[in-house]
Amino acid sequence: MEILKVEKLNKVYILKSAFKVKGKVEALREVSFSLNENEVLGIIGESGSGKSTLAYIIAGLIKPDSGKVFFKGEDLLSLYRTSRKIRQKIQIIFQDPYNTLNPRYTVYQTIAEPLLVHRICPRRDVKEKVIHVMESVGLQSEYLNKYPHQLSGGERQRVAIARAIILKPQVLICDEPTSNLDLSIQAQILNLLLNIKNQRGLSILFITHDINIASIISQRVIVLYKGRIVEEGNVDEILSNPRNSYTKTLLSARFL
Amino acid sequence: MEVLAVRNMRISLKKGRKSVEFLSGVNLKINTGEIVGIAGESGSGKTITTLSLTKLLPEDVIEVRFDDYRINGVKTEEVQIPYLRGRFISYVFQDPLPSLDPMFTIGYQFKEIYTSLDKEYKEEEVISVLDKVGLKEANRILKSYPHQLSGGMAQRVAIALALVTGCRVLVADEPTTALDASLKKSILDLLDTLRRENTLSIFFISHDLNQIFYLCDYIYIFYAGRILESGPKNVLKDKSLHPYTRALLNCVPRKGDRGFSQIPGRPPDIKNPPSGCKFHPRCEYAKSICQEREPDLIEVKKAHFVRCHLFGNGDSKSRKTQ
Repeated sequence: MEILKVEKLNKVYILKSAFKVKGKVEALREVSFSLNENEVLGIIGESGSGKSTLAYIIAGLIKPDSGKVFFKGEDLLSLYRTSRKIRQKIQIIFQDPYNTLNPRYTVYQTIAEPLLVHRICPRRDVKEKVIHVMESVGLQSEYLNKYPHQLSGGERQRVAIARAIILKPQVLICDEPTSNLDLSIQAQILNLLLNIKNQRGLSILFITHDINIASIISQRVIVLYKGRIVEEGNVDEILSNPRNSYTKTLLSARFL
Repeated sequence: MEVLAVRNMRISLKKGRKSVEFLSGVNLKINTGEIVGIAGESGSGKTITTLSLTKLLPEDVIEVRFDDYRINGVKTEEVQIPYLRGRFISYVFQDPLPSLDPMFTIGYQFKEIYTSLDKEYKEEEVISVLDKVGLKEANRILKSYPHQLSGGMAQRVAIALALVTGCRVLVADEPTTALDASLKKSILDLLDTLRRENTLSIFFISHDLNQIFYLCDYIYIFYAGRILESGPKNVLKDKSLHPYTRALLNCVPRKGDRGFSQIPGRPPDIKNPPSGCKFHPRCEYAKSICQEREPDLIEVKKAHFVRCHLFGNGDSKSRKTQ
C-alpha cells in the first residue's frame, strides 16, 4: 500500500544578485513517484540533480513552485498549522552530522526537543523515552550529557537518527546519511537503519550517490538527472539492464 | 627504481604538557611510475604520514624522526627535508577550492609557484601541463578565478599546480572525496595516465578501498598510527591476512550483496591508544597476548608484511584453527 505519493513537483531556484535576476536553476521538473509501506526507495543522482531539494520538499522544509505531496491520501502542502500531527510522521536525517546538531545542546536536549515541541508526553516521562530510544540506536546512557563536539561522526549520526525516530515516524527520509563517514562506520549506520526499519515497519526514502549502497538497501530505485526522473524501477533490473544513457554512465563510474 | 624510501618514521603529538608517540615503525617505499595506496579510517595517520615526508606539520605535532630517509637511493640529511616541498614532492588535497587562493587568478597562482621556487615563469610550460591534466582552454582558465571553475576543473588545476614544478613524487590526499560520483573515476584515470606518461610516483590516500584497488600497485593499511598490513594489490585483495584488512574489505558494499558487514566498536582515540596491538579491542580473534605486547611487522611472503600475533614467529597453529 502506498504511504507517500508525490505528484508533478516543480521547483525553480532563482539566482539573484543585488538588483537583478542572474539566472534560474531548475531543481525539479515534473517529478512524480510513490513510496509503499515498509519499503526502501533509493533515489540516485549526482550533486545538482535535485535529490536534496526533493527531500526538503517532502519533509516540509521548503515549498515547491507547484505539485502535490500526499501522505496517506492527505495533501501535505494545503495543510497549515494543523499539519503538525502529520509532520511528526515524516522525519529526516541529513548528510553531515557535524552541522546538523546544535553545538550548544547536549545529546539529551537534542533528542528530547521533538518530544517537547510536539507535546508528545508529560515532561516527567521525557527522560525515560530518550534513554529508551538511545538504546535502540546503540548509545549508552553515559552519552546523555555529552555535547556534539565530544562525539565521533558515527555517534553524531546515531544521535540524529534517535532524534528522528523518537516521534515514531512512518516515513524516514535519509539524505546521504553516510557519505561523510568512514567505511567501517558506514556499515554500522546502514545496518542500524535497516534494523530500525524492520522493527518499526518504517518506509525509507534513501537518497544517495553511491549505486552500490542503493542496490543493497533498496527494493526500488529512482534515478534523478537535472531534476528529472530518468529511470525508475526494480534495483536489480536497472543495474543489470539500464535503459537511460545517464544511468549507464553512472554505472560505468563504479570501481568494482 | 626506488625513488623514495623512509625507515622507521616516528611522530609524537602534544597531549597537554606531555607528548605521546602516535605513529611509529612506519616504513614507506615507492618506485618510479608506481602508485602506492595508503588506506585507513580517519585518524589512522594516513595524512600526517605523507605530510611528514616534507615536514609539513600541523601544530600539535612535536617532532618527526626518521631512521633513514633516502631519495633515489641517496641518504638525505634531516635539515634538507623541508626543501623537498614542491621541488621533489608535491601535494594535492581533498577539497580543491580551499587549496586555491580565491583572491587571485589561476595564472597568478602558477606564477607564484615559479617565484617561490626561484625559477623563471614559462607560459608554454604551464599550458602544456594544463593540457596534460585535460584542460584544453588554458588561456581562459589562466584568466579565471577559482570560484569560476567547477569542482572537477578545480581539482585538475590543483593537480597541474602540483606538477608544474617538475616534482617526482605526487601525494594525492583523498583527491576525489569532494567530487561527484561520476567525476571520481575520471580523476583516478588522470592520475593513472600521468604516472604512465611522466613516470611520476604517486602516493594515493583514501579510505575508499574500491578506489585504492582500482588504482594502486602496492597498498599500505594504516590503523592508529601503525601499518597493520602492506602488500601488492593482488595479494591484499585476495590473500590478505590481517583481521582488520579482511574486515575492512568486507565493509565495501559490492554488487549482489544482501546486507552490510560492519566492524564493531569505534576507532581508537589517537592521543590515548590501547595497549598492545592497536586493533585488539575490535578484533574477533584477539587473544591475551594481543593486549600485552604489540606485534612486529613481519614479512610473511615477499613484499607482503603483516603486523599481527596470529602470523609469524612460527605461530601457524592459530592460523589453521581460524
